[in-house]
Amino acid sequence: MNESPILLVEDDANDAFFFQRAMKEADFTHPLQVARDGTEAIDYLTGTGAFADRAQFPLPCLIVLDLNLPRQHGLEVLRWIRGRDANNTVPVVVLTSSTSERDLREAYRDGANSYLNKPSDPDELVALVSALKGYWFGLNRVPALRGLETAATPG
Amino acid sequence: MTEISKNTMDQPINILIVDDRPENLAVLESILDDPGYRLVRAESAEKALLALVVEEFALLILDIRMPGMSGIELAQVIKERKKTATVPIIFLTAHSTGDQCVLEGYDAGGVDYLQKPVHPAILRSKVAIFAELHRKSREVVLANRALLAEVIERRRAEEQLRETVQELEAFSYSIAHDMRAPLRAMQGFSGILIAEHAAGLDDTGRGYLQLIVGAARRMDTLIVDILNYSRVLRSELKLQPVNVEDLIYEIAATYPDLHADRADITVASPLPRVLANEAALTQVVSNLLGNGVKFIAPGVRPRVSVRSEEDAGVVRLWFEDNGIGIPQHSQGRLFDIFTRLHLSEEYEGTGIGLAIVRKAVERMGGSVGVESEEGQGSRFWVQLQTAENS
Repeated sequence: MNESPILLVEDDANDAFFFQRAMKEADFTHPLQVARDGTEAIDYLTGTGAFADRAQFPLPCLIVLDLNLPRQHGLEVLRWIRGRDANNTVPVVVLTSSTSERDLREAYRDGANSYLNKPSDPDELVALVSALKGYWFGLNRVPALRGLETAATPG
Repeated sequence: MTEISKNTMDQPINILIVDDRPENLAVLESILDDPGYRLVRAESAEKALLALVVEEFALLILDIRMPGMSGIELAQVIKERKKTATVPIIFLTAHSTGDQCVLEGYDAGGVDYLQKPVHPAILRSKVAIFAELHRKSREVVLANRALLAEVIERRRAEEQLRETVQELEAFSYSIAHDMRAPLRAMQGFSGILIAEHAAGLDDTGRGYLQLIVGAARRMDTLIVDILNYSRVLRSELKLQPVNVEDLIYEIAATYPDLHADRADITVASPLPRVLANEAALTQVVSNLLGNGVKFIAPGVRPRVSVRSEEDAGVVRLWFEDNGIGIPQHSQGRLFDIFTRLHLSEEYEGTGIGLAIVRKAVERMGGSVGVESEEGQGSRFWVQLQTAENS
């Protein structure tokens, strides 16, 4: 049984690379899966198509979600997650370059647990990822995911 | 308006003449033979009613004595109908009868009478007066209609403008975001290069790398500033009492350059509360304080002191610094967007900060200004309404 990963939903390959690298810098060894747009994120969460193998693609214990995504917007993904019957409580951290008051308001209204702006400085990104690790994997508690043999405790 | 007048003048005026005797109608026609009039005959009250249904008339000339429905009865029907109630009527009465008394009972305007035999000049002048009245009212109606069309047209234009502004906002918003993504990549990869691969480069190479990092950071600042500026331009600024003193302390705590280890920020307490939008005023104050500590001669410890003057419901906040000052000739365009007085090697900046200050203050109903001399420090002021009485 693989450890429950973080699902990063990010269309920009550079940003995904920086996130991965910042995790390494922050000694954050948790497994990371990347979905490159909203539709892929939903496919991942439903185990559709390429993501059918749950052993290879376990349900995530945390979703880091970009907003400006092709195909399906991040907020649509968020609404879809919160509207599901099962696994609708997974923590979602929005990580976006959008500073728009409207995005901020809608993200929280639609059930985001946190809203972070993408830092442009690599060191700041390491600090951000470090804080994610400390908070979501050190302090925060979440209900167990359904559809798993054992309840995965993050961290 | 000229076009409307021309159209109405061109159109002949419809006059309905009603008499049971054709020879009387012929007399009326010969008296009123004028290209400005279009005469329509009716030989009975019933035919007159029919004609009134079919078209509009400026005037009725009505014989009282008719077999069947009399002229008086016809007039009553006409006055009762909403569509025809305002059509003026000239009655033709026989001499020495009691008809006049009956007619005087009408209090509705636009009713007149003439005794038979009709005096051509008098009839013509009476008809001319009613015709003129009709022309004028038709002009008013048309002008009203044109005005209404203009109002509708303007509303549509406003709606279109609103849509365009919204589209433009969405456009600038997405542009700013799309621009920042590759910029993040530039900053990120050059940061990694410096952190991990600097050893493989000589001093010149490392120098170039630093220049790339600096340029990317400047562009990032520029985009953020432009976004802030456009936000100040378009967002609705609701005014409420703001405690400026608290605001200054919060801002000074937020920005490292304003911390006590780098600069002296002093406030001549107490400052009166002002009527402002807190978010906009935060930008104004942080830009002014930031400038105050930034434009400083090398080796000098920056100092900005804030004090207030109050007069007749107006507060003037002064931000006085010990910086390099601003030469007289540059002060005129100081608050214009993209105005920079220094090379970026000397003092970094986008030239947007003071444009934001002015725009924000003006949108809050206030004004800004500066007093300065080169080498003597600067005194910026922001004037807003006091909130003490509200």
